[in-house]
Amino acid sequence: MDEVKNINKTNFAEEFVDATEELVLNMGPQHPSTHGVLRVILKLHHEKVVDLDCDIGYLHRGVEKISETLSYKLAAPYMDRLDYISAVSNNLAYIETIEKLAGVEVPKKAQYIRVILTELARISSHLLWLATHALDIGAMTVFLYCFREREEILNIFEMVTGARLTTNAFRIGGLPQDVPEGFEKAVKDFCEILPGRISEYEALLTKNRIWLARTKNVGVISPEDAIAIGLTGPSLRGSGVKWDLRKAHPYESYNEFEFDIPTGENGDTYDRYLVRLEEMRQARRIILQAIDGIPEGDFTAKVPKVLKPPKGEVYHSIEAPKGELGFYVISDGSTKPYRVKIKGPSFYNLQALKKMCLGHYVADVVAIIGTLDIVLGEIDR
Amino acid sequence: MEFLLVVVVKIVIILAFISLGVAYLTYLERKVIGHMQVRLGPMRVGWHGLLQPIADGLKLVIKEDIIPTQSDKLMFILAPVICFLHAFLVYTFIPFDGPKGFWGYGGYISDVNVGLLFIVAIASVGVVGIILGGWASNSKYPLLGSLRSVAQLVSYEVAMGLAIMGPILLAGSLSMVDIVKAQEKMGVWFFVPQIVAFIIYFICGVAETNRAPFDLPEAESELVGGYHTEYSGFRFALYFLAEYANMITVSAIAATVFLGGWLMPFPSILGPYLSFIPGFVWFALKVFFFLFVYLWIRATFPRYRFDQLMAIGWKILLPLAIANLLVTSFIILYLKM
Amino acid sequence: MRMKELVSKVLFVDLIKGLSVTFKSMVSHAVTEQYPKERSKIYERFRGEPRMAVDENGKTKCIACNLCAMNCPVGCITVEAERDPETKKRVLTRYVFDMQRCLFCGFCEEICPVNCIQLTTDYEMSQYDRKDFVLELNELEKGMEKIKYKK
Ligand code: SF4
Ligand code: SF4
Repeated sequence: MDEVKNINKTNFAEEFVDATEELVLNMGPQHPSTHGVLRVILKLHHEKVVDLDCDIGYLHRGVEKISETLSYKLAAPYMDRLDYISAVSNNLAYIETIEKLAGVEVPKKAQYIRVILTELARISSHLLWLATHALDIGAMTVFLYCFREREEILNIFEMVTGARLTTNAFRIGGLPQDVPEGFEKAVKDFCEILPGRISEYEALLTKNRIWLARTKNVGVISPEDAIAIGLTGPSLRGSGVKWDLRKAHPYESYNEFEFDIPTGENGDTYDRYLVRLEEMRQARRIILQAIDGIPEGDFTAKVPKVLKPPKGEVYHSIEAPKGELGFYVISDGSTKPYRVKIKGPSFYNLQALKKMCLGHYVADVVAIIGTLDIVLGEIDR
Repeated sequence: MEFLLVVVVKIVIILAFISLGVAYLTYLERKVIGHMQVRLGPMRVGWHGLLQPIADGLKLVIKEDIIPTQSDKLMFILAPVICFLHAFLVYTFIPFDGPKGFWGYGGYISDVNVGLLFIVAIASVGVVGIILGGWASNSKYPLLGSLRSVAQLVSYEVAMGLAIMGPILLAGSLSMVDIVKAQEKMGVWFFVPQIVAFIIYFICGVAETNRAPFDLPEAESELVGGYHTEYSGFRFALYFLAEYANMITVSAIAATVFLGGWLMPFPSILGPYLSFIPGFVWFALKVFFFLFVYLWIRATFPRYRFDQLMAIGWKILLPLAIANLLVTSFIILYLKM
Repeated sequence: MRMKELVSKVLFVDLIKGLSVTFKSMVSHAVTEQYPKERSKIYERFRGEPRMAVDENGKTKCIACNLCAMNCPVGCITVEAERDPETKKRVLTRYVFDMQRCLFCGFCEEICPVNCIQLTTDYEMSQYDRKDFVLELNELEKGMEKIKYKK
């Protein structure tokens, strides 16, 4: 707060009108650009934010508790509904944790297909992020262009898993069934069109002076602060920290693929935008490598019908599109987990909102909520 | 007596035409933006959705009329009417066709010697409706929206006024008809010698009508709906119509002042072949062009932030407009000497 | 370099680039489908409205093993059965499927030993009344009654 007062004091004109009252503005839970049911309580001085508080929990469903009452297998579909924009990644994180707990070895073929699907989910999540972020800043055509490409990905999901959004794509030990015919072609076709479409978005945004004015130097966060708050994913990499779990602790044969980790320099909204765009291209690179190298073999390992993992606890995390998504599971040796704790990236990323917003305008709050790429399903769980 | 009859008939025709134009402008907007976004826009009501504006209008009229209990009722009711009235009043002075147009009756309702000044003046009264609406709603988002709107209109009015001074100097008159006649005499439309003023005018026009990328007063992603957040039903429709009527006004002024109003392009080449086309068709085409650019811009660009908008208005457009005015007057002086 | 930037800014190069993209899209074909008139292609694996399969004689294939009910995360299936005194087999007496709670996860379909319960590719499942979503065996066999959008 003090910081902000000082900013104001430097401005001669504002000193004279300082007598005006502060305005408390409730943004949300029903507001078009809080990405779900987030409520942000803003304290405004003119149109500048002097204080801000987030109110979460409108979407609480008690997923952690529910999964304690279900057997290991049956809790999986609930995880799809955490970050419903990239259901596949959630599913992967949960299933992998259970596999680690039970010591199940997944066949290579299943691993490759899992990689392809999760990278597709990453692209689709980033597309949806770009769509809504651009719409928040007023570029509404990008919104529909992104949805056009996302539709292709959802079609692939529907073809492979049987659902478009809540896919329930994986099972403990591998996949529920082998990929259908035409999967390879569909994925390759999509990879074919993607670069052209990304350059379309870039033509609309990257050099556009309005976009630059709205995103450069907005919501800056230094690498030190970002690490201290616990940011992960593109939000962290935008500040120049090269940290990606796919490289740091490779899972699912990610160590067999070549890809780069894009990072930003200034840690502002614009850099995070560039990082995510580049991540889409890198994801495409991984998909192309994986689809050409799918090995022969089984699509699932032999797993007992009634899974009883040994006593113990395990934490496992993956690089979800929004950051580090981890599951901490304690087993008491029965068919049901004793405790499931979810570490969702959006919850941690949201903590940076206050730091990023203070001293900015109301319009920037919208842009910053967008750039953090939060999903309320995961924050409130 | 006949004079009066002619005027009344003209008023009725023009009013009907503009109302229809406004309604179909919403249709055009949805269609154009739809196609730009690789979709189709309205398709269900009538052939290719042609009856959509009528259906929308009907829906708005028969919707429940909600007046918030905490609002200032009189002002709340009055505000959209003020906005609407002034948006339509300016059409009195816009020449849709030359003095010989409309089959000899004159293609305008009246030609006042201060026409342009009058239009600009009336158009800016409309903002009172916006302020009142935002204030009377007694709600925070509309209040912020209307405050933004006032600041925006006041700052852009200045640059806009200075921008149209250029053509006025060239024409030596404030009358809309005389400005077009001057362009006819000069043989070249004013947007060529006054290209800077033209661009400034258009940018200010977009800002004046609260359209993207300057649509901050109603930025739906920040302020939900801006000054008309609390309005619904017919009152909302009035605001809505006023906004679109203002778009047409700005385009019509641009077409008259900078693009030669009812004049035909390249009269020496096209003249012999196309002289059967009445002037108001050319005028309508020019207006249509501007409206299309409006929609095109809306479909393409993000939105400016409020402080940036002010900075552009005061720090870039205003000095440029003044410079343009000075240069123009010096050149005119030099030529006269 | 600065000069070049300035010139491109004054000439609105960045904006014109964006405008050309939208203009190109305007003259290209729309990608949307006109829903009630055109229906999109549904892939075979789609998990939609539930159905119970019948054998050649029109009798249900269900053997009342209760696996589907046990494997449902939300417990939206109720299987009631009796033991036939002659054949000593379990016979289905009632089968209720509550679609309001279903996650469409597909576990029931996967586990069923006789491929009786299936999730079909029908995706138009709206109803006006909540109780219409609770399906009994006969409804599950012939598919739920649908309210079709007319025009
Ligand atoms: S699809 Fe899933 S939630 Fe629905 S009935 Fe089957 S097992 Fe239960
Ligand atoms: S699993 Fe199949 S056979 Fe068993 S009760 Fe369910 S529907 Fe009937």
